[in-house]
Amino acid sequence: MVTPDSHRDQTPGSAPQPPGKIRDLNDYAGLIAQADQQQGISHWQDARRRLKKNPVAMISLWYLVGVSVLALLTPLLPLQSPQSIGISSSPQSQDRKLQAPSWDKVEFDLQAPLAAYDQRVADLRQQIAASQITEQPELAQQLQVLEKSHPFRKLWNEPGLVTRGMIRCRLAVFGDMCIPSICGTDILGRDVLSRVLWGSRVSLAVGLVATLVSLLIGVTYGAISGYLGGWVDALMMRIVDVIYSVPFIFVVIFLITILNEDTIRTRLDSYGIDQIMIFFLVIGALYWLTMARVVRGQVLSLKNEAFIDAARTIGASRWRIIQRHLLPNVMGIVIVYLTLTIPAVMRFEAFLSFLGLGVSPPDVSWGLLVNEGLTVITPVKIYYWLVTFSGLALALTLFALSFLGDGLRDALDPRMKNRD
Amino acid sequence: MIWFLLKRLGWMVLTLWVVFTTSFFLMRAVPGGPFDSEKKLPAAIKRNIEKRYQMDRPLIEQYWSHLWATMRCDFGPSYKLEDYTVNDVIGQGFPVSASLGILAMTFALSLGLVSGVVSAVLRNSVYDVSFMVAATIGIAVPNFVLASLMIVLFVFFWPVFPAAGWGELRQIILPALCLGAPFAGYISRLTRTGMLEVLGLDYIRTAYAKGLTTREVVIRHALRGAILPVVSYLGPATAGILTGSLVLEQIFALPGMGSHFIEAATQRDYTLAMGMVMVYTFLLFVMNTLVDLSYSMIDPRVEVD
Repeated sequence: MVTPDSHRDQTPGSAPQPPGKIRDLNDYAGLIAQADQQQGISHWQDARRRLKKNPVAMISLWYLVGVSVLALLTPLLPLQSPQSIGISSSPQSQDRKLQAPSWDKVEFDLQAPLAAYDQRVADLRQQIAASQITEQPELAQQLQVLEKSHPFRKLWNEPGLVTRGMIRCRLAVFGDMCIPSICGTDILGRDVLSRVLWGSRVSLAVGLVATLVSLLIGVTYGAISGYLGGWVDALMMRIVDVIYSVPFIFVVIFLITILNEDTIRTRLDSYGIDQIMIFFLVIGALYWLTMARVVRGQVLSLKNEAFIDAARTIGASRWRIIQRHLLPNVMGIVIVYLTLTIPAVMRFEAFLSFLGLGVSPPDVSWGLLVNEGLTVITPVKIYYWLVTFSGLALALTLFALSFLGDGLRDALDPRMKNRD
Repeated sequence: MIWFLLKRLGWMVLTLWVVFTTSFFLMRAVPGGPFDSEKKLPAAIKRNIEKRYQMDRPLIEQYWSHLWATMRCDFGPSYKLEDYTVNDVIGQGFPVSASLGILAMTFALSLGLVSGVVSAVLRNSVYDVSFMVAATIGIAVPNFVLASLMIVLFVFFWPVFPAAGWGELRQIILPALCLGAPFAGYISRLTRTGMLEVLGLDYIRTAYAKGLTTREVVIRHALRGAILPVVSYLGPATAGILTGSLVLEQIFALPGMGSHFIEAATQRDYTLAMGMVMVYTFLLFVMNTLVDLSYSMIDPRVEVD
């Protein structure tokens, strides 16, 4: 048993010292050294540790990382072209339609058209450089016309600048070599494997971007509503209630119908908004409701916590309170909710593309591929590979996302901190 | 109770009005009226026709007359289907969609409740694990992927069901199963969690102590307490079934409201699409109100306000 007196008899300097017995600066130094030795576990470290112990969530995480990397690197892989044009002109095109999965080697003329095109562009450039100034605009126009017939445009469906560079890299490294149609080919002779991979880019991008849009709107709306409180909060939440009770998928379909009207579409195109962009915005603009509610609830309960009051009493600014104290606490629930929104959005994209209202044919997405697979199912012959691979890719990704979401929810639960 | 219903009615009217107004002005924002087609009408004739249909009036006047018509449940003629008013189309499609939806809900409830209860009672058994795996699959796989796999399996490989069509019970079973599957999965998981919670409570021990059999305890006592989360899930489930029916009616070629709606959307049949959105909103509201009412009936602690 330790009495106050026995404390006082202890010689100073014998580390470590119990707190509450500080006489001079050396004691402070000892305390600080002791505090430095102790490593606190932050909420995030703890969550990461717990997530690592959940094998299902980790497998899902790695699967998702793999799919994302594949989707990003798709243009670099030695895949066949995802489009039909260019193949149909080859002599094999007839027998390539609806081919069952096989390891037979395939060869395509990919390099030759590009080399010819590059030659023509180079020639024209030279001509421009050598010609008179008066002739130059005309020749520049010719160059633009030539650009429209770029072989990539047909073979890879209007790729952007980065994608073009990647395809060039792929051609330089792998040449004409292509992975054989191990997943079969579709009704126009296009390689299913290549289409599934190219489709993953659209499907994943829609999931991510639309979710980010919904995140932005939802968190802002919810935080404002919760932080301001009072009649503003009441009004904002009643608006959410009204929108909530509208079966919004029908409204989205209605909206997309209207936005797809030709005149409106050309007008939007002139602002640089294409159809996939509309998609991101419309879906994102409608999936924020639950996010706003969740964030508002969290902010409301946090607003009156003692640590917020404490921060205020020591003179922290409003911005600092939001940044240092409110946001990190809202973050956990927002991340959990994000992992639930991404699959919901992806499913919705697949659903709309499946109905022919989403991503339209020159582009590919998983929902579109499943739809294409379904249309060729006939009682006479079953082309199972068309539905199976795209459906499997979609289902597995949704699976992984929902498992990861479950795992994150358990890992980020603050009540579980420092427990197993 | 009456107060609750009145309040709900008020919210419903407000929501329907918002939907109507938004879609009306969106519709009018689209260039080109119903009388524009590839064959251009002479300007004078077009003007006469527009006058006949009051389309030359100011927009706000048109809005009021449309609103009045909609309040009398008259959605006007379809833009694209000859000889049909929107009401005709809805009248024809509704019975099909309703029977599909009700059957799907029945499947979802019966499968979900039974498997959930079995899982909870035989916890960690083979049944439990396999039911929960099946439930997860049902939830994660989109219903059109499921439907396409089902068609491959049960229509072509092992032909027990016809691929499409409407009229017989046999033709509606497969779509209803596919439609109900994700909801069966959810209900099963909710029931299992609820049952596990309730089975540990004191009143269940009391029921066992007075000598009731497991079956009586589960059915009479535990289920009633465990079913509450399921009941509150029925509202979102209804919304989901309405949405899912769009796809399944399309896949199985059922002449319901869903396939008409998709057709209206792709054909730009604005009046039809708008009428459908209104009907769906109404249905959703009614179902949610019913769910809230039934909630208070099952759980005497809950009072509607």
